[in-house]
Amino acid sequence: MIPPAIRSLFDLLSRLVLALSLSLSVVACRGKPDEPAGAKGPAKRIASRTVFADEVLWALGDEVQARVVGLSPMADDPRYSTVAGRWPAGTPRVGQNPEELLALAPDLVIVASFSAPEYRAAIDDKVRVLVLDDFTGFAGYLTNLAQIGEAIGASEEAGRMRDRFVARRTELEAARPPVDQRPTVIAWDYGYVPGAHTSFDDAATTAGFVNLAAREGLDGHQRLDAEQLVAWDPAWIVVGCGEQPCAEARTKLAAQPGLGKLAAVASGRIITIPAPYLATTGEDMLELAARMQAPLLEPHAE
Amino acid sequence: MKLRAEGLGLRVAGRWLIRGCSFELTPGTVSVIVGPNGSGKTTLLRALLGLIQPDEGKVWLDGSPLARHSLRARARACAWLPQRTELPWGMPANELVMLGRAPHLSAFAGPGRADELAVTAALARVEASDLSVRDVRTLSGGELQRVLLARLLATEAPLLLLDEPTTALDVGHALALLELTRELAAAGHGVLMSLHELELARRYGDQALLLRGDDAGGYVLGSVNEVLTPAVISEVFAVGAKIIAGELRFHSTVT
Amino acid sequence: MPSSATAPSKTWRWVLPWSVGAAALALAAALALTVGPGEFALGDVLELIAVKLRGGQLEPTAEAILWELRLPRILLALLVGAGLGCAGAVTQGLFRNPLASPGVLGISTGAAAAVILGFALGVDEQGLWVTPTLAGLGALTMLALLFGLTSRRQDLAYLLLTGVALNALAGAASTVTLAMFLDRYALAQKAMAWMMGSFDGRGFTQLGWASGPILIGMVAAWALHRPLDLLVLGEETAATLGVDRGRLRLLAALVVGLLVGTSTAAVGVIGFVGLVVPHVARALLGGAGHAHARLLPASMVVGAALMLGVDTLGRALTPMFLAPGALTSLIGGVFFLWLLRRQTEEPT
Repeated sequence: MIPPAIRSLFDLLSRLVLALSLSLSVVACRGKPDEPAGAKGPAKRIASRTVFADEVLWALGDEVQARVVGLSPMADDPRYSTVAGRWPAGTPRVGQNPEELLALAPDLVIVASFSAPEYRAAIDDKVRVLVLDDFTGFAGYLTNLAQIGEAIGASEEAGRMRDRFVARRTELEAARPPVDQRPTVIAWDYGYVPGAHTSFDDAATTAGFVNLAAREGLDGHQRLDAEQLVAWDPAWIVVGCGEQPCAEARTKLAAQPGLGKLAAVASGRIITIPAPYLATTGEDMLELAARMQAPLLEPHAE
Repeated sequence: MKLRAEGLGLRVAGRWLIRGCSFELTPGTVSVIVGPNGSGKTTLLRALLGLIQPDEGKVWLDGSPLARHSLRARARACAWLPQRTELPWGMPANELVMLGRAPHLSAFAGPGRADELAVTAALARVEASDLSVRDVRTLSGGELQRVLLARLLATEAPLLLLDEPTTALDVGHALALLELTRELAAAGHGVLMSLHELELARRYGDQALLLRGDDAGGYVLGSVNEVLTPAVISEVFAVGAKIIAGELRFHSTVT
Repeated sequence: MPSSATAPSKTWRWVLPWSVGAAALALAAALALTVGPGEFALGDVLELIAVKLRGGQLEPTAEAILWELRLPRILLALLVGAGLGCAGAVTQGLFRNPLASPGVLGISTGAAAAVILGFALGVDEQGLWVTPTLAGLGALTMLALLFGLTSRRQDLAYLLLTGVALNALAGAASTVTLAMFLDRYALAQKAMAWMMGSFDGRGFTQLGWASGPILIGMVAAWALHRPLDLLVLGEETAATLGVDRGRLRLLAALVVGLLVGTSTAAVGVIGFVGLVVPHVARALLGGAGHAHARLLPASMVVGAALMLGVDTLGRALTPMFLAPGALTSLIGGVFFLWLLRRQTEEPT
């Protein structure tokens, strides 16, 4: 008799979890790598089902862009996509219905391993599907990039992107403070924090921080009690600006009960990051690292 | 304290249960309402209590319409025993009887000494003092009916309205309860009850109101000996009836 | 003359357990202050009390954790637990049914649906009063629907089935609202965090605006204790004892709406507290559990204790996250099944 209440709650939760994983591609997701179904010959009609692929396909240049026939629904959302507003309006954004995708007659579909299994089952035997399954940081990005490059016959261009990434990463790493002087940091998202195996963890390390949540043993994105945050007392705090101006995000953080007393907040060691850079799992993870490194290298009041 | 119906008319689904009826319930008397199943005995009692509005006519409590009196004033004047009361587990009888004190209590203060005394007296009146701490759900039918009646007495209302109080009782307990109503009337209460058993109604009632159940609201009102005659009973209940040795006897008219 | 002899001892029989219960709760709350991140001992807690009584400040970390976060959250847990327990006792009394509770009948779900709609439309940003008001209105709407739909039949099965249906409807309303705004990650996250319930990060601000309505609701609930007592005799019989049925329903609905609405708005959905707590309170009170004058305060104390326990357990497990709403629903769900079994086994 009771289960209705609980069941509807769980039902809602599971839907939400799904929605979260779909909309936020930084959700930690580790599994055994699948072989992309039949990687033969370069694709001529490419459809993307993840913001990550929207970003990579754009970055691969004109020739590749011309072969893209469908994009993920969030390609234009400035909160999650670093290429918002760049793709031509004429390219369809494909929703949750697989029929929509199949109607575009693509010969390659790029999906994330956490896409709805029903969706993948519906398209699996009708079109070649490239499944990307590592969104946990820099290594995952490079693997995904190589897989896309190979599947669409743009390995050379993908290689150039790879080199660009590695070079910029090396540059940031060269600028960071020595190991024993790296301060702790936590990215606080009102109850959630990224731990180990997240894009934030890699970005923080590259910028010259110690991701405190990872050091304390958190893995992936986890809920964290505000009291625990205060007890850990990170030297720096990173907050996403979300849908508000970054200055507002800063005041809002300081106004939270207890958080105003944090040393990081009291002495202004708050780094605000515009929305997509905390969410992206692509090349712009280094943009996040750079934006974190800049205030760290500035001569600070203390 | 008097309860008076004037030109009372009650209708259910287009059928008149009673129409144009005027009568009075006065302290010191026992009045009985009789009639076939479904003739509207309970509905009539509910209308007299003000639980439903009559379709015609009015109910008066002393000099003014019932509706003019506050709920609490009405509760202090008329106490009601419904046909069935669903009771929770684990409630001691004296707590149940204490509920009858509600019309005398203020919203916040708990029951005082006077209320405790009223409860004790009410339980004693129905000879249920020994049941006072028993769980009401463990009482026998007869015991429960006495405790429920004690709840009415605890209210100290002059008028008591009882809906078929003997239905669930065996004949011994039924007679004891009816004897008690006579005693209560003798002590100044006005008792109005619906009854199934016509002979018992004749024996214990003073005034009788017989509902014909003819859909036109027909009724017979008068002293029990005027109303509960073999002729009227034969007509209304479709049975043969005679008085033999001072008692009503029935026989089926279908042969 | 037995009543005159028992009168003083009767008073004592009540005063003693109540003071013991209140003292135990206060001690438990003080001990709960030591549980959680930051390694604070009872000595730190006593120091906190001493310093705060003098109007001083602790060192920043202790000040932030003990004073700004933990104390208000513990007080909020006590308050919300008391409010929900009280709302449960009122609901059970009102429907004359031990299986009725704001959670089972969909009242909490209705409050949640209204709040999620508020999130989706962005009206919750308008001010701190918006979310509690919405939650209260949602709860009231569900109560109005329940009264409307069960006015013809009042048996247990019909009431519960109506509650199940309303629960499903309100749940669906939340899901539909969320589905329409699926692309808004922040909304989805906010809604999910809220559906699981949490005392985390609530400070004196939240405590401040929640305490007024909840305290008023509890006092108002207590003021209804006598009519609720009389309802065990049935609505009509209660009416012949001076209960204004319409007014009682309206007032009780307002009380439940106020308590459930404010609690839900303050800490999210905490399910089944209203179901479990009055039963525990009745078991503790024994035969006196029928008197709402005692059942209501006892439900407040038991509810406060339960919520304190759930919250403290959650904090002890930090940094692992334990959703208090999910935990209470789990306890309550099992309890409900057990109760249902016992109810159907009882001879009638």
